Amino acid sequence: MKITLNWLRELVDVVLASDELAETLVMAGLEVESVEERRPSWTAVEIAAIEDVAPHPNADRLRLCRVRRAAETVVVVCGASNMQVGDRVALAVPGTVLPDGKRIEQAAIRGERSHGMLCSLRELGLSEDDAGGIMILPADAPVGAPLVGYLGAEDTILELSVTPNRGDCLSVLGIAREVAALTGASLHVRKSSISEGGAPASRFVRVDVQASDLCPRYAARVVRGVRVAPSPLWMQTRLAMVGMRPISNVVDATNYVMLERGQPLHAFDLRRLRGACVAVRRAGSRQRYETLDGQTRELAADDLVIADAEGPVAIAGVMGGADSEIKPDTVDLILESAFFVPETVRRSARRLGLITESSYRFERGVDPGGTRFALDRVTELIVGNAGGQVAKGVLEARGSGGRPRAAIRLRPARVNALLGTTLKIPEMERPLRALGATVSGRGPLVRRVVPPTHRFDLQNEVDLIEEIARLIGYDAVPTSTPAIGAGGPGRGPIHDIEQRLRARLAGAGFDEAITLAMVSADDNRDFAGLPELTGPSVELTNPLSAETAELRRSLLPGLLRVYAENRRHGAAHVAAYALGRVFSREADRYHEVQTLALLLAGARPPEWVGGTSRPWDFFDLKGACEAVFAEFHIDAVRWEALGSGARHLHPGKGAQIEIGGVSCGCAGALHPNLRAARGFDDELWLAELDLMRVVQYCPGRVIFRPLPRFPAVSRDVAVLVDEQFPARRILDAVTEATEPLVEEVRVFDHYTGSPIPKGKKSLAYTIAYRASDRTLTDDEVNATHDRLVARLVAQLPVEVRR
Amino acid sequence: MKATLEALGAEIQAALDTCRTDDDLERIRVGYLGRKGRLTELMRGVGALPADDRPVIGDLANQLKRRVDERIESLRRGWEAERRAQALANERIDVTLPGRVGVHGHVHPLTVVLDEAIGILVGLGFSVYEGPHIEDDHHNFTALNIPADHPARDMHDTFFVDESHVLRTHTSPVQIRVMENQEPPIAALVPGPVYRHEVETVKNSAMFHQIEGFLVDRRVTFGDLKGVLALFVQRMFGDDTRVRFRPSFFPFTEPSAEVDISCVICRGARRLPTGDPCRVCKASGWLEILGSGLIHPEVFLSVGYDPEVVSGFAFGMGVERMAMLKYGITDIRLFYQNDLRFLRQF
Repeated sequence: MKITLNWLRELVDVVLASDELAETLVMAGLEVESVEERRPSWTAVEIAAIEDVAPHPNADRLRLCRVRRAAETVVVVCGASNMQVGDRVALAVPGTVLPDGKRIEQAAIRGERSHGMLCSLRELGLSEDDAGGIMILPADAPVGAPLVGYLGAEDTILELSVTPNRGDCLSVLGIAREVAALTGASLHVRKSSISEGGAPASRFVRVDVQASDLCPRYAARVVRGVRVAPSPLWMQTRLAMVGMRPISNVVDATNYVMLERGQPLHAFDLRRLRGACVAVRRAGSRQRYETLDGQTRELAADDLVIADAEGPVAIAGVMGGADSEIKPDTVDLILESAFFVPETVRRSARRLGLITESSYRFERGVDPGGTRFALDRVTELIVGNAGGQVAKGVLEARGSGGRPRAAIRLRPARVNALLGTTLKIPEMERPLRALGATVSGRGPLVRRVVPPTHRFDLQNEVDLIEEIARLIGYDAVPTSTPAIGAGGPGRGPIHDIEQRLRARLAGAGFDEAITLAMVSADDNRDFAGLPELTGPSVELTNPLSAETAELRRSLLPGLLRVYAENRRHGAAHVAAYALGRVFSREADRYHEVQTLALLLAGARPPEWVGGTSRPWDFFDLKGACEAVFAEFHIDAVRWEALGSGARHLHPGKGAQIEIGGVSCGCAGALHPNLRAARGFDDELWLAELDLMRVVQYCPGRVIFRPLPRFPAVSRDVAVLVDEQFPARRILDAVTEATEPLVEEVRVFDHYTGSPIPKGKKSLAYTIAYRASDRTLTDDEVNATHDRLVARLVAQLPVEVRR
Repeated sequence: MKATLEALGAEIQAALDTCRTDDDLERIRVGYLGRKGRLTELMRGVGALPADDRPVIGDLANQLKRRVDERIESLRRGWEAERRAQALANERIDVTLPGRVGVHGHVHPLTVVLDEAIGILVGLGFSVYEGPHIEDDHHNFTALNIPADHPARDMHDTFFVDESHVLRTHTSPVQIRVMENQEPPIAALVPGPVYRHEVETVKNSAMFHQIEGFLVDRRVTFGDLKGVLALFVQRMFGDDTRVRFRPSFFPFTEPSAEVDISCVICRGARRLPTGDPCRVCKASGWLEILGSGLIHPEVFLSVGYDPEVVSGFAFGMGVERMAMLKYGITDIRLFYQNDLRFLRQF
């Protein structure tokens, strides 16, 4: 919202400089977005009166105008012809600089000396067109006065951002009240003077408030015989400064009073109302209706409307209708000033997508006690600017909003208890009174506070406590340090796990990506996510785009975008992970799972200068996953060939990851079909893990195992097997044999090619033997090892290589 | 015998004087002092000498052996030292070649800032809590004193999932969830993503991160809020950071305060050392960093707490904004593009 400093000064004494004023408002909770000084270059232009107009002796199209300034009379050569003796005009004296940079000098024009120039609106930058010749000011414009001051063209514009609770501050008056309360200055709000005459207003129109629950107050006046024309220049100038387009002397007056007093107003053309009546009622049925912006809108049954005998003429508090709007030929007016219930205006405005200056104010609340006050102000301005006769009386309807406000109990002890202050009672009362509240009561316990009607936001004790704090200033509240005695999980398990995970993955060479939770429907179709997400995807009702229409089922589409983006920049390899939630709709609830996803793409960087790089492969990915499991001491992990287990992965190059027999995710190569569809050249390695399931297998605590006192002895065995034979079967068989001396078994070699026959591979294992109470002898070890090997050969399709 | 010893001594001396290599030295040692060495043999013969000569000759032989041993040892050590010195003079690594890289990964800058803030607040006694991202209308709005048809809902451009569920527009619903589940005292901290229906620009992202904190206990005051936040801000942005509290409005707090810190770029001077106005704080000297306030009595009532018995404060801040200020980042979209050239700077 914009206001001007001069406008503010009309309502309150402002002793502060504009930047100090801004600072004061900011520290009271009214954010000042900008302070803009408007300083026209033509401050030297003054108001002058034409005393004589004579033809130029040497030029037919020029005139010699004798004009009276404050203390002298001068002659000015002028090219326009629209002036008459007695007119007040704008005289640019020598030295004036016009907005276009032109400097006025005393000069001879066609042999006649000219002591300045008579200006048009356009020459002063006040209007775009120049149809009318020079500017003719009203007859009462004071001769000799600077035009800048007369028009109010020199001013300071403050742009304020008002929080939604402070609807009362959406006007110059609202800000003036704040300034008065904050600085102790006095307000000057004079009563409007209106002379009524002729027939009573009720003779011309009948007001019938049917929906008094939605419209507690309605006041209207009838003004007859106005002449619709442009507003006076000062009003046009001021409206333009605060960003409002001048329209006509009637409409501008309603806007001006709205900006000044905060009360939205509407003027109807009386002769265009059918049936000479105004009803405030619900629309009643769905119907179409043309608003004054020329659009046809669909009204809902419970929209509050102003209607004449035949139908709606305005959506209450939102916008008037095209049929009854003020036109150049309008003569008789009905002026409306009402209090509509904020929620009803808000509902209609939202539904129609029609946020207007009026609806914005109504939905934040206007002063229910200011209806009449604003009506008289606008009537005064219209009669002053457009003439006309004010019909006798005000057509008024008052509903429940008219009751006096109930007092709020304020306990001084409560004020100090919440703020942590040691304020004395008078120090609490003073700011409340400065706001216009009445404070009554004695003794230390309770005060009864009745806020002024415009502070409808003050409803209970804590509202008053905030006002006290705000007006004494938050700086005045002493700072203290509480003893925080609350228990709680501290960092908590989830955050702790994630932090360890991030450290581990950084060590493994992965960069963390944070990706948007919204993906396209295609992404969700291609990446169905963890097996536990069995329900449908979660769609957004109001997505920003088709690309972000659903909540992700998987972190992988996001990681693929990370890959694509970086590949575009020429990154040779991408090793990235994301940690975040995935979503689905399961039965009657939404399911959210904290998930970890990994991506490897491109070539593993060479280990050092001169080394070679090789493409990332499955075992790089598996190693990274194993690093995660190792971080959490989880060892019961099984990697099973994927087969058709996950649609997004290559069936032969992927694995299902199981812990304790439960699937916790999968890992493998992006399916070639998806790779082709997305235009990726590289083989991409992807893993996705259900983090919460994984860490649920994390042992509660790590228990120390005593270090062995006797040495281990190793024996190797190499076997020839079919190429499809999984290496782990040997490990499982060794474990199942439960030989007490076997400490560990692991694969140490994997080989195909000559001299191994085609279709076969060689696997070599090393088995460590150890006893906890003695050093093993060769004989003992050999006996166990031979027994074990014999068992393998008997059980499995393996041939021992010797 | 004595003469023989002396002759042998001279011979050994001569051999050692001309000896130049370790191998020659070893050969000399074995030749004279080895098991079948000439001095060894000679010493073996001492036993056969007459008893009177034995001590004298034995002594002489032993002295000779010791001299030879020492000489050999000293030659060896001297050569070794020489070799080490030579090696020291010659062995040079080109230390300017790159280090051998495993691959180093990087934590996302938002995580860095989030972790730092969490670390500070956990240190002050707060505990981390989480909540759902798909939130119901009650927890996201109504329980936080934002009724339907209230203009405060305009402060939140909302993504809807169905008629009664939204993507949480702030972390505050977790306040409600924590209070519904436990009794005061509570000192809670809620980090995480939130969602706003906003078109992506340099300043806006449809998803961003917040950290919310709140303290509920008997006798928590506005002064406590000021104290805790001042401490937090100084640990987060440096001890010389000044802080100011100014009135604001949030439906779920009252009194509400916006917290500004002295500009991290111009240090509150409004101008840069060059004399140009500071653009980061728009020459105001202050940066808005946090929203805060005493928890509104309506919020306590919605979770069944008695606002006459307990009081509390809450605060929330944008992680992106903090990271942007901390690192001088001017485009919020960089956080979500995940350009590795960006990520690897942190």
